[in-house]
Amino acid sequence: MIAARGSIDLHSSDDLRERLTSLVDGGEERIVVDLTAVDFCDSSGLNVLVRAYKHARAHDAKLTVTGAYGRVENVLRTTGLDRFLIEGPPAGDTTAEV
Amino acid sequence: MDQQLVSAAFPAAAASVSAARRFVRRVLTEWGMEFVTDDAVLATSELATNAVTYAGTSFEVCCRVEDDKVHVEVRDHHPTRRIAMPGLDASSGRGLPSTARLADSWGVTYDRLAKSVWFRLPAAYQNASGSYTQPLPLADSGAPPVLRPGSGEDWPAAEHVEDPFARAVETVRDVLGAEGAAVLLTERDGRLTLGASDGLAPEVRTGGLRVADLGPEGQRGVPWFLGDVPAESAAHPIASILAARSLAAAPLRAQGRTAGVVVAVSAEPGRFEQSDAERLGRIADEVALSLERARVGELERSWRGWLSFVAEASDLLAGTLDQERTMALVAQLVVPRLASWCAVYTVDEAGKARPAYTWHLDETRIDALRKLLDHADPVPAVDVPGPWTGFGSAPEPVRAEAGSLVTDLVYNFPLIARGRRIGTIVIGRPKQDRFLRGVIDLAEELSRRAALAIDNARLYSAQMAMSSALQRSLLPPAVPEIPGLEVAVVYEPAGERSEVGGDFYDVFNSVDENGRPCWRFAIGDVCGTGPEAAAVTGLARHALRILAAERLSVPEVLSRLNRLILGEGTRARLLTLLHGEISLAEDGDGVRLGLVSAGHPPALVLHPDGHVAEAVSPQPLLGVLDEVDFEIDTVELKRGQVLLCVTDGVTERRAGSRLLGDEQGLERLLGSCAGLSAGAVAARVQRAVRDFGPEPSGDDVALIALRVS
Repeated sequence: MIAARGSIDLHSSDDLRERLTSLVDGGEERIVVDLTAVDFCDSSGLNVLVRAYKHARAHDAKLTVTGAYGRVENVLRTTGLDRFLIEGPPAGDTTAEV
Repeated sequence: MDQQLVSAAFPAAAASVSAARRFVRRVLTEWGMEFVTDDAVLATSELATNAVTYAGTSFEVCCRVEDDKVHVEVRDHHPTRRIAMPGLDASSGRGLPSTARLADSWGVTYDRLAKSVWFRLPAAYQNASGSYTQPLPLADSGAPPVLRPGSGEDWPAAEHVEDPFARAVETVRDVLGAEGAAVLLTERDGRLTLGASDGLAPEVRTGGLRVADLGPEGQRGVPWFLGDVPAESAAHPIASILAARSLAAAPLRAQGRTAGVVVAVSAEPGRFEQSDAERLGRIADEVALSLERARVGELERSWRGWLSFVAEASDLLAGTLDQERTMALVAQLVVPRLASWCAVYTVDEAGKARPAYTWHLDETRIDALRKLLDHADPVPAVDVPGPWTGFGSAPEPVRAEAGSLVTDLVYNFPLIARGRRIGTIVIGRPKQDRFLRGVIDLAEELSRRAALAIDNARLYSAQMAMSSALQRSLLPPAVPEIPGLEVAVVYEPAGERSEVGGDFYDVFNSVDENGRPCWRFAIGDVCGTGPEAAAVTGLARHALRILAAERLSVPEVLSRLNRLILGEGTRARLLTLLHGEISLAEDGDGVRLGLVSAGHPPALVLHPDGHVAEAVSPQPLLGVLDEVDFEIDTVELKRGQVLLCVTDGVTERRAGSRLLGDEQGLERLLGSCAGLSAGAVAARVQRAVRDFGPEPSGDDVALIALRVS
């Protein structure tokens, strides 16, 4: 599980992108991005999440997000990305592995 | 003192940097702290540049005096953005390293909502080395930012420091028990001027003293004495001018040359011997040392003044991308600080340099100067600065009208940007005012920056023309008439149209599945800006029209477009799109809308009573995965109802940490529009977006309002 903090936007998205890419490349099969401490995510932030999601899929890994609330939850819902990025009903300790 | 705390806020715009500088200069000047103004202004400039460039937020500047320190704080609203250290790149901000060098101490404070960088400077001048109080060593006289060694009248003479010469003459009198003592300073032209004196006879006039008057002993560079000089002796002019029967003297060696002489005099013969001369030599060395210190301090201060000037110039130049204004600015930076007049030449397509902007200190002479330059020899196409004499070839009437201008000293500085000679700056001043080396250096530095600024302005206008052409091609030429439906659109690209944005909209005629006329509309936002985003925008807009002509339904169109975007591979961009079909309601009341929102900010319906509701359910945005099926949402828009569709430039419009879309902000805004026409709703939303934050919006804004009339 990786926790992001603050705003994910044009200026901060590169770090997250690198981090997520390296987790996938490092062989992690289950990556959960904790957005509990993220208060804003713009389209560049979404772009990072989408790319990481696709990168993970291409490597038979799975990337999801958790903890989104307020604006971030809203933008995930509006863009329909919640369907891809948020797992259905939380199932026990899915976030404990990374 | 309660007056000693002042702060001001500045928007996140390039012009704020110079506004912040002016603010700090004004405050510190009002507080009588001119001696730290240059440093404070320069450091503020760096920090403000960082706030605008790297944090990208508005910022506050707060000045206060605390424990004899001037404390300046620049606070931006980006707590997480790290402080940039651009290093010593000559053409950009010098960043914190130079703040560190200028300030006594500095630091960064982070809190949850902001970051502030502060620095402190001594409020009282503490260094005994110098005391220049001018805000810029480059006063109107064009004095160069270098010290003229030995020039007595330029020496720092201030109450802050003990004058080293006054101290020296006192010491000489004390130590040698001399009746009188003087420090004489060597001028370039060989005159000796009085630096300080004590106890000289009232009839002594040092005005006519020259180095030659020191006699052969005095010019050997070692301490010497005259034991017994007959009164009015022609052999020892120095003694007779100082009315001395005996004297001891020692050269003042500073900056590797003899800067003057320290003399002890007596009306009695035989007062001094060799040992007195040697003691005097030691005193002279001490004085010389404090002169060296003064000079170093002085050079450093001039250097800072120089940096301030260049920082100011760079900033001013960076503040405009208009070619004409850039040239005017260059000329006004040069005049009167560096020269009496300035002409900026630009090179035309044929490679010929022509004066494009001319400026003279005395505005009434500008016309004559322009005429003179027009008739003079062409400016030489050289790559290095140099003196220029080209007025000789101007016809006599032109020369007569120009008067003394024809004898002015003229220098030209080539303007070279990106390896190309784009013009020349020519500066001039009356022949009796020489150009000093410092001025030439400064003008050369300025010409380098000016060249880049002028070239940037040229490129910018070219880019802008291209961008607006491209932007126009991405928007529909006209919006079709739809019976009974008011359609209003707003489109505002971010910034100054230098870059093509990712927002677009379209409204066009189509035919429904039963072959009846209908209309389709779309509003979309491609993630990112620039040519690659524009390519996806172009693809989307054309695909929508072509696929509609193929009679694909709205959901089918979106699925196809999604696959088309994904087919772009690495050039694919995320696209949020609201697409819909408008058909006239069968019962004649209003229209029927078939809508799909692919990841787009929700479309809202305003009822005549002010009630607002979301019209569509969110579906995934385009450009993520291809296994997405879209479903249509149907909305009946009745008389008086308004459908409002916006891009995230509206909902994510920022004021500090607040967004317009927070807490149903857009719903509340639309709710206040009940009873307005589509055009008035669009205008109100547009104005609300503009007025929401103090800073201009960084994102494109597009919106469509449909109202059944």
